[in-house]
Formats: sequence, structure tokens, C-alpha cells
Amino acid sequence: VGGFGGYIGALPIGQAVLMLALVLRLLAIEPPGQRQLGRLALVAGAALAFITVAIPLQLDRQWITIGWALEGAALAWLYRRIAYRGLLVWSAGLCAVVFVRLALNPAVLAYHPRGGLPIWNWYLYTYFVSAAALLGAGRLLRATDDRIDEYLRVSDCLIGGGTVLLFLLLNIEIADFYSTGPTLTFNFSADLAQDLTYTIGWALFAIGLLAAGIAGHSRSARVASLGLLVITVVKCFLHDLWRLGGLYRVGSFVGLAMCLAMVAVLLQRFVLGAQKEAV
Amino acid sequence: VSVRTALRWAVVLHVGIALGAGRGAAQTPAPHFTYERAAIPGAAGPNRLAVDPVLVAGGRPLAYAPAPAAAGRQLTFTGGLEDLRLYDSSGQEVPYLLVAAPAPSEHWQSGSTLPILATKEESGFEVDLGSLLRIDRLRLSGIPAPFLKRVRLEGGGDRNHWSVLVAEGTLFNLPDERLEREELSFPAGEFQYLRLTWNDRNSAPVSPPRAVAARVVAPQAGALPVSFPATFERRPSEPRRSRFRLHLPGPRMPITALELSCGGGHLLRQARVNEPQLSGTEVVPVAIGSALLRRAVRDDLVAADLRISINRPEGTELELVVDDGDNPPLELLAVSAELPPLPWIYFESAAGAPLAARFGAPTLAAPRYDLEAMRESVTARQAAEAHWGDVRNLGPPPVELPAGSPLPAIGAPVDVTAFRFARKIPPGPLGLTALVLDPAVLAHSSRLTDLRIADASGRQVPYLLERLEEPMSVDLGDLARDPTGNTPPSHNESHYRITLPYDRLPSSRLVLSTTARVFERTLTLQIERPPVDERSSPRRQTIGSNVWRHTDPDTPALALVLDLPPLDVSTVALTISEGDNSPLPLSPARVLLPAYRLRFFRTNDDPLDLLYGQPDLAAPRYDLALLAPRVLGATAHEVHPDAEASAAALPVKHGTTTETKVFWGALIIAVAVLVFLIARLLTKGEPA
Repeated sequence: VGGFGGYIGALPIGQAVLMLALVLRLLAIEPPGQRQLGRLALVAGAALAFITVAIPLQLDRQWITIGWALEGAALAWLYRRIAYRGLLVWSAGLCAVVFVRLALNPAVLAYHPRGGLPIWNWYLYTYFVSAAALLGAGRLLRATDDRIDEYLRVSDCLIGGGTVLLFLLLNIEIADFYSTGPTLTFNFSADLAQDLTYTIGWALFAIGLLAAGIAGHSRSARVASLGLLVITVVKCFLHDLWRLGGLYRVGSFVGLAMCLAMVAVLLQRFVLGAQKEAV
Repeated sequence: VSVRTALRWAVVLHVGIALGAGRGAAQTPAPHFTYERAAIPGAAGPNRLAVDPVLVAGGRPLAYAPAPAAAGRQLTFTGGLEDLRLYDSSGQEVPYLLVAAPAPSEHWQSGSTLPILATKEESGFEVDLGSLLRIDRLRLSGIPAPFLKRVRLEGGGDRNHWSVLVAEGTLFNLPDERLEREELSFPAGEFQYLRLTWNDRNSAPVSPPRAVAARVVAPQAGALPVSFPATFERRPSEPRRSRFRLHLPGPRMPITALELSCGGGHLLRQARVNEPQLSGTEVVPVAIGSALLRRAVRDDLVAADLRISINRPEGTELELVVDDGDNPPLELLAVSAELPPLPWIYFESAAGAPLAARFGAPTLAAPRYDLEAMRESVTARQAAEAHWGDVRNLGPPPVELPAGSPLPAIGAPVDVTAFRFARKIPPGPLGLTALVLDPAVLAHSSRLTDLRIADASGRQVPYLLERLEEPMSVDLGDLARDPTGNTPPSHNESHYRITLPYDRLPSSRLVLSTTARVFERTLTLQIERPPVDERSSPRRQTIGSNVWRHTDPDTPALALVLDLPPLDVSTVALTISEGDNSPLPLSPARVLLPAYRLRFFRTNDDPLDLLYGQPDLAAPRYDLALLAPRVLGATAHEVHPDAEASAAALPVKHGTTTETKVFWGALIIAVAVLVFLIARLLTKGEPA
């Protein structure tokens, strides 16, 4: 790029300004009520695409994934302004691609070497920004007609996808923290410290998800959180602490019993007790 | 009118040609001779003056051609010494003829033998050739082997008066050692009788020979090979190999063999003679001769064959490489170079006054004298023996290139600021210069492709890269103990830290030596590799390992040589597994690096710089085919560049941190403004 690689983000900004001028022109030549929403959505969506890609272009890793995620969220926002169905499909498609790329493509972890810092690395901004974009898009679409069929809504899918990405991020950061060498390595049976870190991370995530489900009145989130919590507890006592001997193992079973009892209480209080609550 | 015009043009042309010719004659430079030497006639009239190695070294090269097999010689003189001139005291040129030496006769005259009275210490025999003959060599055959005897040879015209021809010679035939010498050479003379006396003091008498013959030589002798001593110096080398640099007095000398003189006892070592020659774009050592050096010592008698036949060298520097095996380094005492039979000079002296012989003018054409008419008869004429006086060096010829010379003295300009390193080349004499590349150049140059020599105005000086076979030895001093060495409690190990002069050195060899004599140790070399990422620990990588063993308490242990790959670090960890023994005492170590020189031609006193440190720069492409003859066939003055200064900082081409922060802020603001504008333009629930 002729030595201007450090300022490449200025290019889409300039292109967005041009597209914005087209939007202005469209709004000027088509009076309200007589506008072709498809054409307006296309031009405005293109302007948003340039805007959303400006900052990711400045990043050197996974910028295109982040750009797609931000564009998906921006199109969801635009769908609230321009009720053009194509915007919903466009937004959902972009978010689906982002999800597939980050959640179902293990090779994405090998595209770049590991960063020099734990936690504060390219996994964090890639997965976190993408998950935030999916959650934000889902949140924006909840107030719109985003039903695909009688039972399935795009917003639910996006929120679920964003949650999965956050959970993946949690596991990736833990694996990165304990990995050695240039590539990320998942090792769920390495040593007690690493296993317990996963367990604690999962437990905190489940609790956070439960809190979000309670706050957001989402039964599915609460069910998912309790399911994750059960898995976490079982993993902790039957896998992580299994290697302990003697009284420590006895103590672990006591702890397992107490935790399962607590889960039963939570299940009764927040899931089974809220059967009447709308999902 | 036309005739008058034609005449006018003819006159103008003639005048022009005359002027041009006059100017050309005025510009013809007087020949510059490098050497002047007195030639003292033996008497007035015809004189005969031998061509000797001094003249051969300083004059134009002698030319030889393989002679027909029937001639019994290997080489026949065909020309040379075209730049030789003789002057009398008034400066007038004295004509001369360069006459090829007569071919040595291969006629052998057999003789009858008569034993002499043997004593406890001597035995021998007399040889009767039948008549008075001019002979120069005696050959014995049929003496039962093995034998190794000291002999004395005498000759005479009768059996009462003897002249000593060889006071103390050695004859031998040792089949097991493949050493044989059953001929004795001596100055040519006229003899009918020869008396050979064996020295039996320290060896048993030998049986009389079955046959004896003497070589008959032509009346005009002088066809014998001529030898002269060559200077030499020992060069740094790896263990088990001795290297010597031989200096010849002149280029393109028709040397056919080198005869070594060595100290010590028995000898059986392979020897090789190398000469730098152009190969592709580099000057590399090329073997021009090799031989197996043999010597057997019995009591105080020595039978030896230390002769190495070589092809004619082009330059003045040769390298002698001897594989020492498990023996001490070769004790080289002297080297003599053997020339083929040399021509002789015929001239006529008017009054017998000394002449001045001048030679060493590379471009001077051969003279043409009327004396040439006498060539067929000069060999038969009686001539007095003239001899040489002292030689005087008049200085080298000017090295400025003539206008329009195709030889590349100066190359294209080069941007000297693009190189990270610039080192002064010390001033030196004009002519061929060999710049030795030190470890700093090897470490900081990019595979030696970015080397340039430039003058003060940034113009390149073409060079040839010469790769030497001898290594560059760098002393590392005493090895320091490594306090960070990790030794398991069950292992008795010694850890040392070896500090190389630079990181990023090419492949090299580490030489370790010890004063211990009986030991066996395993040595391991490791380097510390950087962590694979910023959160990993450094790791150690083993780069070499070897077992060092010596079991003879009477001889010092041979040094151990460990190969080192190209390294990007300057510290190497050495671990010695001591077993249950005390730590092995180590002497100062050294590292052997590949040795290179840059051969270039210095044509003036302008200061020159050696430039390197531009990784992307390709190897230079000079007109090597034109340059090679100039930089290979002359004596090079060896220089070393001045010390290397620290690297200059490369210009930073990337934006500064402040600029980056400002740009990021502007970008975020621009994005926010654009989002705000779109939000303002597209109101919620845009109506269709």
C-alpha cells in the first residue's frame, strides 16, 4: 500500500463519505412515502459497511471477521430504520458467517501466532467484539419483526450465537494462558490448576448467564446456565478432584453433594418455579 | 582546378600525417624497467651468460612447450624474456641472443667395475668407462634391496688422481617404504674412471652392483634443472594439518616441482600445493600438485622423497597443505623450487667492460638484432663465461591505466549511506592489494554479497572475492566457567561459557586443547534459543557433541575440533561429562572461521572504504574476465580494514507513536460522526 498501511482505515472513511452523499441525494430526490426502500437500504447499508470496516482494517488480525460482525449489527440497526426485509437477511447472513468462522472453524486459532500477553490478545478483541456485535444485533432485532417462522426468531439465534462465542472466548483465553509454543493447545487433562481454572471459569460463566437470564427474563438462558452449572460441578468432582486421594476425595464428594443440592434449589427457584413465565 | 585542389588536399594530408606521426613518436613513452643488473663479461669477444632464477622472476615469463618424447625431455624452451636489454657504459644497446640450452643427452655409457680393497669401515668399487667422457650422472643397478648407504664418489682421468664429485651422498632402495634412489648427480666433467666408496661404519656392506652406467652430456652443458630457495611462512591451520604460504620471486615462473626439507624422523604424509585461481565469480584455491611425502631414517641415514611436482603457477603465492594425521605439525625447514633447464645469453663484448642488463618491462616487445644471423653457430663458438652482478630494483612501473584501457579500474557509483558499516582501508602501495576480511565482516555482511569498496566520491573499486583454504583463527582465550550450568546431582559435569567474537557468524570450528594425556570425556555444545513466544522460557539446543579421548601418556593429546553451525548467538555453552574424574584442564580455545580476501587494484592514493551491511544488495557484477589476469598474476599487498564502528541507525520509516494515536483518535471520531449522520438522516420507521 505504498507505505500507507498504517493509515488504511482512512480509505473506507472516505468511501463512506461518498456513500453518505449518495444517501443524501437519494433522500432529496425521493420524497418521503415514495421512496424505494430497497435502493435506499442498499446505499445506506453500503455506507454502513464502509464505516464499520474502518476500524477493523486498522487491526492486523481477523479484521475481516470483526468487520462482518460490526456490519451485521449495523444492518440490524438499519433494519429498525428501514423496514426492508433484505436488511434482516443480510444482517443475519453476516452474523451467521461470523459465527461459523469463529465457532465451527478450529483453524481460525492457527491463522495467527499467539500474542505476547495473556488475556489481552487478538482472541479477546476478535471474539469479544464479534460476540458483542451478535448480542447487540439480537437485542436490536428483538423489537422488530424478525421471525423466520412461527417458532424461530433471528434475534434469539444471534443472542445464542453471541453467548456461545463468549463461552468459546473464555475457554480460549484459559487455554492460551496455559499453552506453550506458537499455537494454542486445548488440554483438559493436564494438571489440576488448569483443570480447575476451566471449572471455575465455567462456573462463573454459568452464574453470569443465570444472572442474565433472570435479569432478561429469559428462561432458555436460565436453563442453559443451570445445565452448564451441573456439567461444571460434575466435572469438578468427578474429573478434577478425582486425582486427590484419601480424605480429600471424601471431602470432594461432600462438596459435590452440597453443590448439587444448591443447583436443585436454584432449579426449583428460577426454572421450575417460573414455568408460567413467558420465555 | 580539380588537379590543383587535389594537390592541395594531398599536401594537407601529408602534413597532417607527418604531424600526427611526430606527435605519436613524441608520446611513445620510454620503457620503464623494474630491475637493473650488472653483467660482467668474462673477456672481450663472445660471452656466455646464464639465465638464472633472478632474471626469470623479474623478466617476462619464460615459455616452454612439451617436447617430443624422442627428445627425452619434458619441456622445451620456446621463448620469453622479451623485455631484456643490455646496455654498455655509454647507454648504447648491446645485441644479444637468447639461446635454448642443449637437450641433455640420454646416452648412458656402461662401465666395468673393479672392487676396491675393503676395510671395516669402507668398501666400494671403481668404474672404467673405457675412454674419457663428459659425464654428469652415475647409475647403479642390481644391488640387492633393501639398503640405505652413505657414499662418496670420486672421478679421474687416470687411476692415480681423483677429484671428489660427491663428498657425502646417499643411495637407497627400500621397497617397503617405496623409496629408491640409485643415481648420483654431480657437476659435469670429463672422466674415464669413477670410484664409489660405501660407508660401512653403521650399516652392513652391500653387494656390488650388477651394472653401472654414466650419463654422457653434450659439450655445452647447462641443461640441468635449476633450483632456487623459496621463502615461506607457517599459516594458521586446523589441527592435524600444516599450512604454509610460499612466496615466489615472480609471477608465471616455469616451476616444475618443489623440493621440501623437513625436520623430524620418519615421514609419510600427503601434501598438496594450491594456488588461487578464478572459478566463476570467486578466486578459490586450486590444487596444482600433490605428492606423498616419504622419509625413512635409519641410524643417521635418511632416505627421502620430498618432491612435489606441480603445474606452472600463475602468481607469486602458493599454499602448501600437509595432512599431519596424528603426528606433530610438519617441521618444514626449507623449500626449493625447481625450474626446467634454462636458456643462456650470447653476447659479444667489445672491450670486456661491464654491461647493464635491464628487465621487468611488461609491455616491451622482443628486440630484433642482426646478431640473429649468428644463432646457428653460437653454440659451437668458444665463449667466455660472463657472470651477473648485483640486482637493483628501479621501482614498479606506473600503474595508471592508459586512456581507453578496457580494464575496469573504477566501477559505478554506489550510495555509501545505504550501508550500515563503512570501514577505512589503510593506505598502501599502488598495485594489487588483498584486503583481509575479519570476523566483523563475516558477521555483519549479508553472505558477503553486499561488500563494496568505494572511493571518497562514492565510486566503486572492482574487486575479486578470494576464498582461502586456510582458516581464520580467532583466539578465544581461557574458557570461563558457567555458573548457570545445570548439573544433576548424579552427574559430574563441568560447564563452560564460550564467547564468540560476534553473533551471526558463519559455519566455523571450535578447537579445544588440553594438557591432560590420558582421558576420555564426552563434550556437548549447546546454545540458548530464544523462547518461542514472549511467555515461554528460553530453551537450550544441542548443536554438537563428541567424545574426546587420548590414551598415550607419552604424547600430548591432539586438539579436538567441533563443528559449529551458523549461529545467531555469540555465547555457546560447553558441558564436559567428567565421569568420576577430576575436571579436564582446558587450554585457551580458538575458533576457526572461513577466510576471505578482496583482491583489488589500487591505482592512486585516494582513501578507500570497505562498505557492507545492506542485506538486500546483490553481489556485484564486475568485468571479471578482464580483471582476473591483473589481480591474480601479481604480488598482492595484504591490508586489514580499520576497526569496525558501531552500526549506524537505519532511518525509521514507520510513523511515530504520537502520529498513530492521533490517527486512531481521528478515525474513531470520524466513525462516530458518520454513524451520527446516518442516524440523523434515516429516521426510525422510514416510510416507504
